[in-house]
Amino acid sequence: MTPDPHSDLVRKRQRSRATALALLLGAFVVLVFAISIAKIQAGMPH
Amino acid sequence: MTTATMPSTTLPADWRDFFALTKPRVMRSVVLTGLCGMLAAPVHLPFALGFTAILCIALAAGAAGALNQWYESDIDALMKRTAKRPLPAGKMDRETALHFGVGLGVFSVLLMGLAIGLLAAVLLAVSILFYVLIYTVGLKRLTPQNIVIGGAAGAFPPLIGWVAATGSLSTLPLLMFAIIFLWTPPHSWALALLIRDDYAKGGVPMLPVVASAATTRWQMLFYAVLMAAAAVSPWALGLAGIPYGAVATIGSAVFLALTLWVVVARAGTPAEMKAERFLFVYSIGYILMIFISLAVDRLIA
Amino acid sequence: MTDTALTPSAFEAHHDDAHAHDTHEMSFFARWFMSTNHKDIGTLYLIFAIVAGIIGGGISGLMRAELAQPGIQYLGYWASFLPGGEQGLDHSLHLWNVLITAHGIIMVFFMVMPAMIGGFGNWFVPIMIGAPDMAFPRMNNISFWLLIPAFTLLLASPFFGGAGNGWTLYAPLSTYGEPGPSTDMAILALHLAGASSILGAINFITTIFNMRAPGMTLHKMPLFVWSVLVTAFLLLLSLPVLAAAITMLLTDRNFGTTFFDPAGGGDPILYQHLFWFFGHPEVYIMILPGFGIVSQVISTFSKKPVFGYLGMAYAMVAIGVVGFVVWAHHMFTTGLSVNTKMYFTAATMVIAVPTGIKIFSWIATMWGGSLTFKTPMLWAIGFIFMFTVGGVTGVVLANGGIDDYMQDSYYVVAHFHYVLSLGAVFSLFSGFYYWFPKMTGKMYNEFLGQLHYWVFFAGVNLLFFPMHFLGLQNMQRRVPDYTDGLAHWNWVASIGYAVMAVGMGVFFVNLIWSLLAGKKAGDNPWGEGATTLEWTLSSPPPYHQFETLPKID
Repeated sequence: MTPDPHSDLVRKRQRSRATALALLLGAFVVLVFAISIAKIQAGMPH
Repeated sequence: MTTATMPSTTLPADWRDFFALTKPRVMRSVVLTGLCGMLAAPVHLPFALGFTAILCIALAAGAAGALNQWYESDIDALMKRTAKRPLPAGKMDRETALHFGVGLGVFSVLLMGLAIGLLAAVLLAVSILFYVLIYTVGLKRLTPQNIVIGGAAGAFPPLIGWVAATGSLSTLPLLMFAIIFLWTPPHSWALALLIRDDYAKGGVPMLPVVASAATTRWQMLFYAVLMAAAAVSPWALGLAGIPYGAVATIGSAVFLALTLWVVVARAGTPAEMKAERFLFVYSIGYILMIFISLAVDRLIA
Repeated sequence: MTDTALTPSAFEAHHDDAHAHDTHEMSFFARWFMSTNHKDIGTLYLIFAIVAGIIGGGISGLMRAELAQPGIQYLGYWASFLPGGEQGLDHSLHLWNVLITAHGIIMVFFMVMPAMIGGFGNWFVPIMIGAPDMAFPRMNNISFWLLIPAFTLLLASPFFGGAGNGWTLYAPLSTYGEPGPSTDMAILALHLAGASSILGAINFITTIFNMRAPGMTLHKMPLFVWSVLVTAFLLLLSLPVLAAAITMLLTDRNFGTTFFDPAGGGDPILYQHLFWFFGHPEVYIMILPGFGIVSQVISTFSKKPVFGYLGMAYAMVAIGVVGFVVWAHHMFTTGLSVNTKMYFTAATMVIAVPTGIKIFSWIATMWGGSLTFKTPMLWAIGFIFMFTVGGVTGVVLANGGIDDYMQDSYYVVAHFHYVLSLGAVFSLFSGFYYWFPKMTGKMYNEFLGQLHYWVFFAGVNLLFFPMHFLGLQNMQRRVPDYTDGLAHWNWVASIGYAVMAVGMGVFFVNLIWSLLAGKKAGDNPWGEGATTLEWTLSSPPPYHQFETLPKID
């Protein structure tokens, strides 16, 4: 069964949002990693 | 609700709409003043931590912007300047905006608390709550002094930037707070005089809407004098050096001169308000100049 | 959530069998090794978790055998099977360290997390929110396949000397205390497992935020989806910190840095702070999805919506948030200042509030409900009892002063096994029996399921309850030998292990019997109480679901 055009449109919109959010989350992971390294190098507990 | 009859409303919002909800242009000035507050501090954070602090300030500003738009979607729809925002334009439903704003705000405060420190996180939370609860929900529709007290919300970033770096408060960041706080009324009322009719349509009791243009202009001058005093004081008190003192003195003098011009010109229609338009544009450059010169002054000192 | 009423006509999709052919067109290799289908990947995760559980559980069997009597009976003999080293007492004791390390890491990273998040999360989060799949199906595949090399590295490490640092990998034992490649292998295993979980967390957050069917608002999502969402955020914020800490361990070990070595200006306590900044949220990562499962099961078999839905959802959010500011209660004996200890004691006790909200809401859900005591419900009720016991001992241990006495005793071992082995594992079995008919299309055997429950329940309580007594008599964890005075309860605990093992035998018999000869399960074997979207699909669900959007009113 072919999905109706509306569902298709919704899914397309969702995919573009998903890509944007995933990139942001990935950047956030890198940031937390960098923060931790910075804290270790400063030698201070949180 | 059927998907067949109203497809446009059931379409999920685009990610660009979320971005627009954060008021990116406001965020830009927030980032700049926050960064200047942080750089003016005597302590310097490692890059990753400094970046995180500024990011948190930016996210908090975005959250406040989103919550502001969530609450004000009814007024925004009535005003030309704001009718194209995602909520009044029907590109996003209000619940999504609310969840987005609350989520972003909580996230920014938690990240600030975990990565930087408790005081910075508390101030960040206060700044969001101040903007959303006291300004947007409380004052904006209630009193013509809305912009005066609400200006405090915009004055927080340099304070938070400083606290993020040092972990404590002192005189200089409080003066930075005062500069933005006192700068906001003349800056905002210059705009309000220009687009008075738009505000009147939205039913927002801006000073030019509920009082005469003359009253507004005199009050602008009153705040501009206080602002100039605050801007010069870091140098007068010995907290900043001569480079900043020179920029602040000359810049503030020009600001005062332009405000005087506004008072004297007494233009009747927006088309004639050359002085107001001039002051509004200059005020943006002025505040950037003051903060950048303060940060540079402290960095080279 | 029962207020998520469904319009049945919206699910025409699953009556259409066009996609059922997809699975037949795929080769075995393409379907299972290159899978991008969330249900297939979920199945792979569950199989992986069962295999890891057998290995991790087998290791604990070795430990209980050794601990059954005072003295060291078997360690030397077992050590002789491993290459290298002299066959002395040190070698035996090192093997003990290797066993406890492997048991901890396997159960945490390769059993509970893959089963809860990878297994049930993958299977049911997309279905419950009306999505056709996860947001990033290929990334999902990578998440799973990263676990295989991770687990292989860990399992291979005993043949290169063995990592005997404890699952916490504390410095300095993990830095200059244990040369040789095995500790590096264990650290890399954690890196890979962590990368797998981070990718998984990004995938879940994106899926839950963006892929919901229209009408499925955040406040209508089933509590299991909420639990996975909170868990994913905990993973996202805590795992990079672990990754940073163990990366610095690697550089301390191999590249001459001294982040955790006082001789070079470093601080071994810093490692503990970093580890527990990850490690404490980690315990909620292991239990929160269990909370979600239990909420679905209790609601289904009480034929009532969950009591206080929003309170339940935000209690999980609160647990997640507070979970990040209590980490140093694992470090009460490291010389923290009195004020610090007071703060961490108070903050830790605060967590009992949202946890209490959940316990009472589950009870309130059952109150006045039309209860049926099918196997999943038994496990869920058992979970509530046993998790409460673990919660109570947790409040005891939260006290910095008491902890001076209790730290590293068997009381702590009893506590965390009550929340994990009787908490997380009970919720896993609850979910497994609850969703088995949906995942396989076959009913499990009710008698064997209930027999499994009762034997396992008796076994684990016999196994772990005496550990409270042993702890109060000051038996220390991570030591294979003890004085004769502790012999009695250790013997009872080892008997308990044997009883539990019999219970697991019943489980595997049931599993195999049900897969081969189980009765065919209908779309919804649990009746009107089961209201989430997965019960509107066939059992097993079609290979692709919800290509036409479901409607949620």
